[in-house]
Parts: sequence; structure tokens; C-alpha cells
Amino acid sequence: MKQIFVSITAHWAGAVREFIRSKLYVGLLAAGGLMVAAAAMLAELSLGETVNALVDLGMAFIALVVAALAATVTISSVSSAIATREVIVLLARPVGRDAFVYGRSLAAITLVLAANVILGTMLAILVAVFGGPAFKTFVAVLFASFEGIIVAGIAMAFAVRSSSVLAATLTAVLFVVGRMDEALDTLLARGTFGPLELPMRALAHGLPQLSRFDLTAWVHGDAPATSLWWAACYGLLYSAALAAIASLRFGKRDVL
Amino acid sequence: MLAIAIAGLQKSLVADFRGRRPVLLNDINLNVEEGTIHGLVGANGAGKSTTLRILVGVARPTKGTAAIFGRPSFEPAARTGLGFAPDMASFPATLTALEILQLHAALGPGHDTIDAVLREVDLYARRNDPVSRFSKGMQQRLSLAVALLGAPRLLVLDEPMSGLDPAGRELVRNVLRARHAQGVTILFSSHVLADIGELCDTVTVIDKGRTVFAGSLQSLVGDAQGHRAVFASSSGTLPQWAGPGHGGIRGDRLYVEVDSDVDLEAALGIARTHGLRVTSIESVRPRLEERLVNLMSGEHR
Repeated sequence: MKQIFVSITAHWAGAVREFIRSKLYVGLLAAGGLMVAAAAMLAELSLGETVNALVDLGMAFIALVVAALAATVTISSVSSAIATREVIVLLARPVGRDAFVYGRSLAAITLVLAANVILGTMLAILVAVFGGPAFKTFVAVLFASFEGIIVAGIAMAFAVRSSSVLAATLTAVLFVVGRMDEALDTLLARGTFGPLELPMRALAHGLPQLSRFDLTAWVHGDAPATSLWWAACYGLLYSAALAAIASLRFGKRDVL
Repeated sequence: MLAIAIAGLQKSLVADFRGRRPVLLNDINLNVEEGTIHGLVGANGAGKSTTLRILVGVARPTKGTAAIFGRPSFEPAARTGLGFAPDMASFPATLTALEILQLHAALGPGHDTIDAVLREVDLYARRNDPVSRFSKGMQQRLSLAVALLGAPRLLVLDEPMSGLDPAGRELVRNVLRARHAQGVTILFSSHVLADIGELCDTVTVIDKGRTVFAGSLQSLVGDAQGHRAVFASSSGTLPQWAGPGHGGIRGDRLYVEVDSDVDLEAALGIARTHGLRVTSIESVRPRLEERLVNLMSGEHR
């Protein structure tokens, strides 16, 4: 048991080191920083609603950048390692493949959290400059990390057995569908699907519900749409399930 | 005791959209005695790398078994005493050689041997350089260093000399000799037959995913007796040789080399039909390369 934790930690540390030095991660983070700055400039154009516009635009930009970062870092970490055969030497060591998947998943989570802390701090400082609720903005951005973590988990589940292009496409589709979960619920509530009702509901519940992690309304002073504890538990359980699926899929993959 | 036992190994890929299943391995049998250096030889695409990857547990066979010291190779515990270096090793470009070795040492035994293996492959002075600054040969040596971590009982190396300059090749040969002297079992694949001839006790030859020879180098080269026959023509014109073996005209003589008594009889018969007379016949031992080429062209099937 000790060896599995040591192995997961080794994979986690190796992947984090690899990516914080990579142009991909640093480049996406810089793009996020520029988008937050752009949000401040755009918000100044909205007369009287500067803070609200800054929070809305800033959080939307950060969510987009972090989702892109979570997907690309995870896919690059797994698909590229498989395509370049980097992974062969790692898998030939006397540890199970689970360690590779869990270690890389934890590395993706770390990088998503780091990105949210950096970009959230930037946005909170800008919100404070304009006299808005800086701390609430920072907490909301940090809470949105669950979205990035779930996107990373989806990317991992696809990347372990698909090409990087296919994994990226499927992850993007699920991200968009996951963002539309409230519209999907409304559709299910109002529509009639006959014998397809049950499968449709099962599918809707199985898809990621990413709008749970959007606390923009809470920053504006409204009550959050769902319980934060329930949303956090959902995020953790959903991510754990995705990691388990990725581990099962990777266990059956031949690296030739 | 057998360090490696591979029996009836087959590997097919999943069917493509036309329903065809590409077959990579047909019937690979490979036994390596503990304490020996064993060569795995085959043409490009013969299945050497696939065999080795199944052996180290990164791919599963469709049929057959692969065991390391008696344990199925896909069990992680079976790989505890194994060091593996793949063909064309690739490492994360942003990590240093030391960080890569630390990562691999954490995934198995060997943390206390990092400095020693870096010195052994002559990379100690460059241990803090990122891999992106390494030449192909240096990456190959780093791959060998990873394989040597933790004093493995068994080394499996896929083309360990490819991409190396003469000094690098000599370094790898010396490392293998030194490890062998310590009792380590070594299985390596190579296209360079000089390395096989120089280092190996036993050899397995595979062709089109099938084992076509397994045994000692001596039995591979020594169980065949070749002949060189020299012919002259009384008419002064020599025909282009179209019989068994290889033939070539030098001056006023036709030199024909064949690998067996049967081929010699056939060559003499053909020469008679062309009105050639025999000036000399001598016995020659075919070179390792010739024997392997013959094996791979189907002589033993």
C-alpha cells in the first residue's frame, strides 16, 4: 500500500514539474491573465455596472481558460506520453498502471487549482480596485475549480485510450453539454419522450452538471442556485468516478 | 533456472473497419537461462519490439505466455528485478536527467543507485541538464541508466546501441559485459550482428513473428558447412551465375559460394551443363550474417 502512494506521488510530482516548465501551461496561464485584463477594460465601457460586468466577464473568461488548460494539459500528459512512447519505460517499472492514471489526474488537479488561484487573485484585485466584493469573487473562482477538475477527469478518461484529437473533441463536446445542464433539465421537465423518457433522464444525470459550480450570482448578492456542500461532494465524487473509469480503460490498453 | 520463458506467443491487433486483424506475432518461443547474454535478432518488422513489450508487461499477448523468473510478466511484482530500455527512448523534455532517474527510482527499487548509474553511463556531469539539451545518443544512454537502476537481475534492452557513436557503443558494450560478470541476465535485440557475435552466448532469430532459430551462436554458425567452388571455361566465356548460393566472375574464373553439400552438388551439375571445369573446391564456414540472412529468407521453415 505504501508503494502505491509513493508511486502516485512520484507520477504526480513528475507531471507537475514537467508542466509548470512547459510553454503550454505557461502560455495558457498568460492568455488567462490577458483575458482578465481585457475583462477590466471591457467592464469600464458599461456605465454604472462596471463591477458586475467585470465579475461576469472575468469569471466567464477564467472558466473558459481553465477548462481549456485542464483538457490540454491532461490530454498532452497522457496521449502524448503514449504517442511518443514515453510511457513505456514508466509502465515497465514494477507498479500497477493505476498509479500512472491517479498520479497524472492529481497533477492535473494541482495545475487547475494553481491556475484558478493565480487568475482568481488577479480578478479579485481588479474587483477590489473597482470597489467590488473581492473576497467573494476569489472564493467563487476557487469554487469553479471543480469544473476544471471534472473537465480534466473527462479528458483523462478519453485520453487513456484515444488519440489526442479525438480525446480533445469529445472532452469539448461534454464540456459544452455540461454547461447546458440546466437547459437540458428544462427540456426533460417540459418535453414528452414516451419510452425514451427513462434513458433520457439517466443520460442527463450521467452527464456532467457544470453549472453547479458557477457562483457568479452569489458574488452579485443572490443566493447560490444549489447547496455549495452538495455541489462540492458532487464534484469530488464525479471526479473520482472519472479517474476510476480512466484507470480501468488504461489497464486494458496495449502500448505497442 | 529460466530468467525468461516465452511460449507460443501470438499477438493480433483489433480488427480494422474491413474486418482484417493485423498479426504481429505468430508463434514466438524464447527461453533465456539465468546468467546468460541472449540476443534477439530479426529484420525490421519481424516482431522483436512487440515481443519485448509483451515481456515487460506494457502489452498483453493474444495467446501464449511470457514469464520473468517464473511469474507472468504482466504482474507488476514480476518486474521487480527487471530493467528495461526501449527502442528510441523518449523522456519529458523539460525534466533533467536526475529528475527522470528520481521519478523512475520512486517507481521501483534503486534510489540509492542513481549517482552510480549516472557515472556508469557517463552522464553524471550532465545530470542537471534538461533532456531537451541531450543528443539522441545521450538519451539512449539515459534510457540505459533507467534500466540499470536498482541493480536489476534481468536487463531487457531493445536496440541498446542504435543511435550511438562508436565511443557510445563501446560504453554500452562495456556496461553489458560488467553487468554480465556480476551475474545479471541480459536479453537484447540488435540489428548489428557484430554486437550479437561479440556479446551473446545464445541467440533467438525471429522472422515474420515466428521463432526460426533458438540456440547457441556456435550451433547457429557451426552446424552448417559451406563450400566455395571455382570454375573456369575452356571456351573463354563465363555465364552469369543463376544457381544456388552466390556467384561472381573475377578475371577468368567464376567463384560460387554455397551453404551446403546439396547446394554444392547442384552447383556442380549446373556448371557441367555450361561446359565449365572445376579448378578448386574448398570448405568454408559461412559467416553469421549469411546464416541469419538465410534463416530470415525461410531456410529453416
